[in-house]
Amino acid sequence: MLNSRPVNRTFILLIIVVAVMLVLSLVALYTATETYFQGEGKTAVYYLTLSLLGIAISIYMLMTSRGKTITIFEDQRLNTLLRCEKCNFKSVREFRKGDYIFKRSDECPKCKEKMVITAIYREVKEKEKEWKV
Amino acid sequence: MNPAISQIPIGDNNTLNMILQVAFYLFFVVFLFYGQKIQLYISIRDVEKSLRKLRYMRDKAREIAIQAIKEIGKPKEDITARVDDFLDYVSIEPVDMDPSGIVWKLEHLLNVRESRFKEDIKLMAPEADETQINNLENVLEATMALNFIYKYIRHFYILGRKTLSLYIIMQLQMLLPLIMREAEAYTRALKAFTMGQPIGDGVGALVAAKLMNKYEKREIAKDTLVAEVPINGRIAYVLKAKGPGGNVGKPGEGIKRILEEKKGKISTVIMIDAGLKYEGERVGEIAEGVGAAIGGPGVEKFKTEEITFKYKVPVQAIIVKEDVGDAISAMRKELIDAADRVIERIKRLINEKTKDGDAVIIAGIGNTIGIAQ
Repeated sequence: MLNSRPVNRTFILLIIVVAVMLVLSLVALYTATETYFQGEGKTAVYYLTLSLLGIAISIYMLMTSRGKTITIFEDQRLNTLLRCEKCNFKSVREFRKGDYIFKRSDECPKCKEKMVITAIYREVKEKEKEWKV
Repeated sequence: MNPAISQIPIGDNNTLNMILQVAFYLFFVVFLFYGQKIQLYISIRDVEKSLRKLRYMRDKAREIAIQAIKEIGKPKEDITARVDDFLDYVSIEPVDMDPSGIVWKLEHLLNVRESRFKEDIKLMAPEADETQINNLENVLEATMALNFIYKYIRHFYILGRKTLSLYIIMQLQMLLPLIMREAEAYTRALKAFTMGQPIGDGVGALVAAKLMNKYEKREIAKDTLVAEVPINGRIAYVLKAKGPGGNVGKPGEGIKRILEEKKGKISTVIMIDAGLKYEGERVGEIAEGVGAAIGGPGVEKFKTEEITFKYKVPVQAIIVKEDVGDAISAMRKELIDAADRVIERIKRLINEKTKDGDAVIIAGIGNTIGIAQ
């Protein structure tokens, strides 16, 4: 995985920056509540905005620094479609190593003849985003 | 204010205000003088991330290739160093200052490359049969492609860092999304190649296989089979690469030989191939047209064009749309369904463009991995 590399100096620096920013943001948040109760609404909003901005940036920086797991190598589910040439019985099962189209494979449960693999395919579940232009 | 908090020097409103103002001016000055450099470092970091991903893909691909060779070929000695040498294999293109005759030189080079690949794989995997050798060749080709992409990007990344050239790094950063898509496609292809699964590129071969399945076949050119199939009162010479190993055959040579055998008495040539779709188009859409529907280095296309021009035979093209990722990964259901629709189109074309008793050539183009005939 990508995130298994040793912690480097940049990462430590990032953590320090994020920590300082978080402390400042929390102080600003506290100041915002204090000033609000003192009746200075405008100043409170100013500090609140600053504080939320600081917290948001800190979270964003932490999120982007995380390594992402590469999922491309994970197994894809593949189906093998078999058809009996005698009785036209069809069945679908998971792909097995050695399968290929037009190979005579499993026995037909109805007439006990060898069935033929007529298709090997994967189904893509997630829908592609449609651009209405 | 809480007295405990007010002890913190920055807890005071004015102090905090002052810090923020100083920070603002500091940011302004820093961005004024070092804006471009900061941008450069952000871009470098971006490229670096992708490069790390590419390295991971390359390493994993190499691991898969070595594992596949060990499993299938049962080599007696360690093949790791040999695979590493293989990944840096180069093919030097013929000189094109005088382009006349370059196609034949390119064909010779490709033939030598292919036979050398097969010989080397046979040495690495002594127990592999013909189909497995073809599949292993595809596995190594995909790994080589990933190795090349990684090295190429690393070259420009290091060059950009050495020269601190914003232009090199930014060009790289802009191209990376497309390059990464291609690298991911090769990575997905590996799985299909090691397992011998049909890939999207093989949709043309699948159409031909469905047409010729029950008929007698003969080898018309190297790794290319042909069968005489009666369709709607016509004789169709259906050809495809020899499966189920990963193979594209020599369809151009096959078409040439059939036309020469028949002395040009062929009404039409129909070529079916997978074609890259535009963004917004659906996978499995079919497009019809004219011309030689075949990709690759161009030798087979050249041969098809030459011979059909010589005998003035029209060439019809049927393209099944898919994207680059689908073309080299396990075949999608939409493409399997498209194959049946293509057969309907072929029959319609034959009815419309030829007469009873005519002869036609139907060439299913593409990698026939996982598809017998």
